[in-house]
Amino acid sequence: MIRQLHQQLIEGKITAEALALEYLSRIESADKEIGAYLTVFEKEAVLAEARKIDAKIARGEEIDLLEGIPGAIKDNILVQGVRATAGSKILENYIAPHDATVITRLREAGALFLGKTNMDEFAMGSSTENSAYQITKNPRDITRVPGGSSGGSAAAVASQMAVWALGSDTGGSIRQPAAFCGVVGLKPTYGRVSRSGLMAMASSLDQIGTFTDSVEDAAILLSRIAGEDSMDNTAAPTLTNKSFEDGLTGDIQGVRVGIPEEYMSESIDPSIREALEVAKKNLESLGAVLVPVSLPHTKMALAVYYVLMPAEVSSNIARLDGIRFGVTHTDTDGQKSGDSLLDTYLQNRQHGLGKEVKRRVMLGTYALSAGYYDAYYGKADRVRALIRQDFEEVFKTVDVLFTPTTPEVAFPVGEKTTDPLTMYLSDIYTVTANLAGVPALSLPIGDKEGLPIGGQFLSKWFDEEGLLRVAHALEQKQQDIKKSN
Amino acid sequence: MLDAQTVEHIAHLARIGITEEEKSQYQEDLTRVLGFVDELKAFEDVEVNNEESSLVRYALPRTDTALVHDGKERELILENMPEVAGGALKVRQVL
Repeated sequence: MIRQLHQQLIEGKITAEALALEYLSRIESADKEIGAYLTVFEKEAVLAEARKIDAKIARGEEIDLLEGIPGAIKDNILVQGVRATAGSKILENYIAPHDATVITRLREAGALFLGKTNMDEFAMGSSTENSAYQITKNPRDITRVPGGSSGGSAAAVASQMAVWALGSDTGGSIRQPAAFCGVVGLKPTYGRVSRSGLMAMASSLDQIGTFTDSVEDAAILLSRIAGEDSMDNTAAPTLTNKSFEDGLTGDIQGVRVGIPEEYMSESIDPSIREALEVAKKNLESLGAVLVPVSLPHTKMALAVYYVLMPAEVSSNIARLDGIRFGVTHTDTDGQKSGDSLLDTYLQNRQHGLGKEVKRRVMLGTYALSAGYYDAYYGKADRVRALIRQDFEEVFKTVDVLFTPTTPEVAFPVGEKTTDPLTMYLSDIYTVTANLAGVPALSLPIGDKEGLPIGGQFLSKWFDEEGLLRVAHALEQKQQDIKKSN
Repeated sequence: MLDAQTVEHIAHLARIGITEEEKSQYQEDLTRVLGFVDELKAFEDVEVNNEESSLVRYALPRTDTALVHDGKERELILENMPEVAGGALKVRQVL
């Protein structure tokens, strides 16, 4: 979609201003029902940016593929001078003092920003029902959740309220909502994209990624946000000058696609199983070789995740004390609360943080406390290494893995809010990529009575090129089939 | 079931104020999740080469230089503070 819009821009068929206006108007009319955005940027400011690009085109200057293409940003990514709540009440007045590295890079490319999207508080949740501000609805069926935690970003792209959107993925927060809303969700390799300016949830798992309408659009965005950064020393240099979008050849002849048995449990929705079978046949017809494989430690992944993630959360959320970051709680008489500094902390955090965040902070604190550290954190860390080794082994024999993204389609709003464990199970097929650090992508592969189904590809560390090529080939094949019907 | 005292202790360590009602809710919730992750305990312990298992493939050092920040960034940081005195964050007495 980005390439087509770019072509129309340079051929003068549309202006960047008209394009921005079209998207802003759609937000104005549709977002009351969907609730994807927490902040929409001021119309005049967005249009002024767009006019600058139109002037550039009029002068005959070359523009980047992404220049003038409007997108949305998850609210835990900083945009200078703009409110960044991360879906939390404690940050209701927080104004970002600087741009995240990804924002700086997108500005350099000339991308337009429409607004900030809704999310589960500090990215903790799988349905976007944990936002302190609003519940985002699934554009395919507004009685259902869009998934989470990047539900606002997924819903914005799915309802054409943004061409692209940024999200963050700690255990599936890009791929699961992408699957639920029927869009492409990419979580790059840990270290592919700088995390500077992303509010940290679990630092060893967090990664910024994209929501788009197509695999090519994901590649275009990734090329522009990836690369080393002096502000995040885990961000790796991009070793080639080639753009990811140039690697989408459509040729996957002889590519070895591993099908891990552990990702096909009994509890999968039969419609998802069926869609996966169809996708596998399509991959074979493209010349790919399907190989049954095993990742034996997969069954431990969710338990490992629910020890390591809360442990890191409890450390990262410590700064949200209402003084260094966040709102200081005031009593009903308008007085600042707390007799002592400790009381101030206790009350600011009690009133400023939501239920799920507090639950995870408590869990993490417990797992890290004296006497329990080795039994929980130490053990989980060692099993995590085994999960990683599973991937190292399997990638000696296959190029990519193909699995369902989720065991079920989008569930009704309110269905899982009372039981945290049921909600946690939504991430069962996505957490492994974060634990191992490998890149993964969710591609729409079918639907169940109109509710989208996602298929997940995973590849070797830093092999986004291979990952995108396979997903793109399958996507094209699916479109050809649709056209011929 | 996690006892009430443990929950109180954890809440204190986590710097989160809790009500009596929340205390019993946490007892229940934390016990359930810990029950779930307890399958890890049953897993036979393994020795892992820490260096090999390290997740971070790149950890690039950077030169130790002072970064120059523009006035706007400073201004925005100060505006986010609950109380400012003399261009600095004003906090409660610690000792």
